[in-house]
Amino acid sequence: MPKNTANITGTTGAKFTITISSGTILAAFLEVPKQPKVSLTFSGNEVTIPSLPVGDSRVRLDLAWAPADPDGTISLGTVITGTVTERNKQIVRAGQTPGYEKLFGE
Amino acid sequence: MKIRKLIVFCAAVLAGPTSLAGQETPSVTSDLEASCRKDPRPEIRAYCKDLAALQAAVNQDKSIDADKAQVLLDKLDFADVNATVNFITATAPSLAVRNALSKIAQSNAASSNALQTAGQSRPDQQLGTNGSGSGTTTLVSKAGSAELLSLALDTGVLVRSVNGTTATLSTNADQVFRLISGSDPDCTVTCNDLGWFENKMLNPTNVSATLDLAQQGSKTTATSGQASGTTPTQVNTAAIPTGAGKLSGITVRYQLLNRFDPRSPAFRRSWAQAVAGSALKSTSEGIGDATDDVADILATSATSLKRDEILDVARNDSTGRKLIDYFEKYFSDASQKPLQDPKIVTDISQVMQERALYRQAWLDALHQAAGNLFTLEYDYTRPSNQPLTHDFRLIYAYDSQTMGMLTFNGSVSLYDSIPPAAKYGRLHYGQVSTEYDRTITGKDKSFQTQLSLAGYWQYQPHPSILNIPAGTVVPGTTIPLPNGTQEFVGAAGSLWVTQAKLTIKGSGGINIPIGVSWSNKTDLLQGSKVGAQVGISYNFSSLAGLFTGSSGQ
Repeated sequence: MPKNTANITGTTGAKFTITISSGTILAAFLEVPKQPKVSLTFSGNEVTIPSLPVGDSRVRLDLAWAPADPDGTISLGTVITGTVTERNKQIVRAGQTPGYEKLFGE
Repeated sequence: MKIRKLIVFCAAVLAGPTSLAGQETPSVTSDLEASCRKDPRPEIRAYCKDLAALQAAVNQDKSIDADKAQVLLDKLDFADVNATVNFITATAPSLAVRNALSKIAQSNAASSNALQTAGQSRPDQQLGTNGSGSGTTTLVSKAGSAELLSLALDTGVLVRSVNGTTATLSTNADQVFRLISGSDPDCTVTCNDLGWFENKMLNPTNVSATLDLAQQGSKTTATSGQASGTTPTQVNTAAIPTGAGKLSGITVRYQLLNRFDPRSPAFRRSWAQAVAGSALKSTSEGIGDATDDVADILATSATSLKRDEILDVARNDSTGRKLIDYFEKYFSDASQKPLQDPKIVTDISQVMQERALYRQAWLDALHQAAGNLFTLEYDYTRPSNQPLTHDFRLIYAYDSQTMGMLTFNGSVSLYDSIPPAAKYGRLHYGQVSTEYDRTITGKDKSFQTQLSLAGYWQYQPHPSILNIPAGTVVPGTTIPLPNGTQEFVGAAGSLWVTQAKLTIKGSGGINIPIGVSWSNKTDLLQGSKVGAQVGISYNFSSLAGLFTGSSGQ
């Protein structure tokens, strides 16, 4: 997954949060190719990425949807350390789980 | 259907004008969606919303390029992780999923048990037959039902005089429908087909059948002459046994959910609490892990979408028909190689099984959040040597969560038919009853005990009716009574019953109720009676799992 298809890019090691506008987060994981997934902390609809890995990675959101929940939009939340840029906002269709946000660190 | 329309509307409104989703022209989206949702090709149905969104975005801005449309194209590109969820939905029906399921039964046991254990904590489920049966442990019918399938064996008696042993099989109408039709097995809030019928009719309806194992089925047949004896006796007909076990009742229950506004703060709070205490977390993680595996295979073996080409196709036909045909060809070509990987078949099967469990956990959470206000119950009862009855019952449950649950019943029982010159009317009886249930030990453990205290009052205007079997003779004589003779037995008036019951709830869906009861009389006999009841029931995790070996046993 090259840099130009990631939803969020940033400096390796950057700490930041992402949010989803709808649905209920049940669990969140940081997934790096050929490495075990790492559980991420979340509060409400905001997930913290403690350190952006180098190269390709993704955040997996395990979700539950209430009746009448609309599609969810994943957005960059707060940048705590480093430089992070949002290239586009990923959409997760209501009722679907998991949802993915693609990251790229350089 | 209304919920789906609401979701589409809310998505359009809330996404705002700056997002790509906001570029969807509602009329184009809904027109294309309306047609592709009914498309016979599963891949078109699965990706319908994403195809409609792409076409709408192109119609709104003909110059849109692959970079600007990236999020929409990601969802259609099998090499992208965001297309994986729908890829699984699209391919599952055509794969030999059922064969592969047996191979993953072991890995499913943990999540199945998690779902069963979550169901075990509910005090509101009616698994056995109700109080009017001749083999029952239940004095007051509960508002909830088995979400999937349950089997209960009960012995003991509460209201009736004749003790018995019954086997009760209960299932949800929607589960049966899905098993038979294989329809949309993983839908939760976005069910496509038969939405209203499924949500309003099948889902809230549970059906159970009760077999009285102590009764013999019998049939009246003509005799052909006296076989022994010196005194001629005129016996024209006799009842002959036709089999052990007799269908003693059929029950249909319809659960009415409390009226709620899904967007109200009160419902949102209830929903959050229900989700936190549900099996959704474990089942969603199972879905996520298996989806990851499918995504990784697709990333290495699926052909990438030609993004500029599909945009050109969308530009050339604003109706979206060419886009759909293009996507069908892409799906056919690009999915060939990954689907030859035997691991992806197992992984997709795993996801589908986990989705079925997730769906049940979702429905549980919804019921928990909305609450059962009323359950309507109809019983068709065939008691031994008594007239058939139709019983109509209204059940209300109030669950205080911390202080236990109160259940109230009110019912009337009507005779199926009234013979000529009958000295009784259609009304058999009316009754009200209440029960208090509380989990007393092991709330946070897989092994729980639940205490139930129940009181029951029944009033019947006439004594009970006893059908005199064909071939019965007048006592002390050889004079046969005519077929169809009925006699009053017992007494009219009030019948009081109280019961104390302890239910042991083991892990994996097993319940063992043990009760003692006192009644001032029974339906056929006068004088008080002390009785005991014991039973065992099993709440299966998945009806489909029964046929694939993955029921979590």
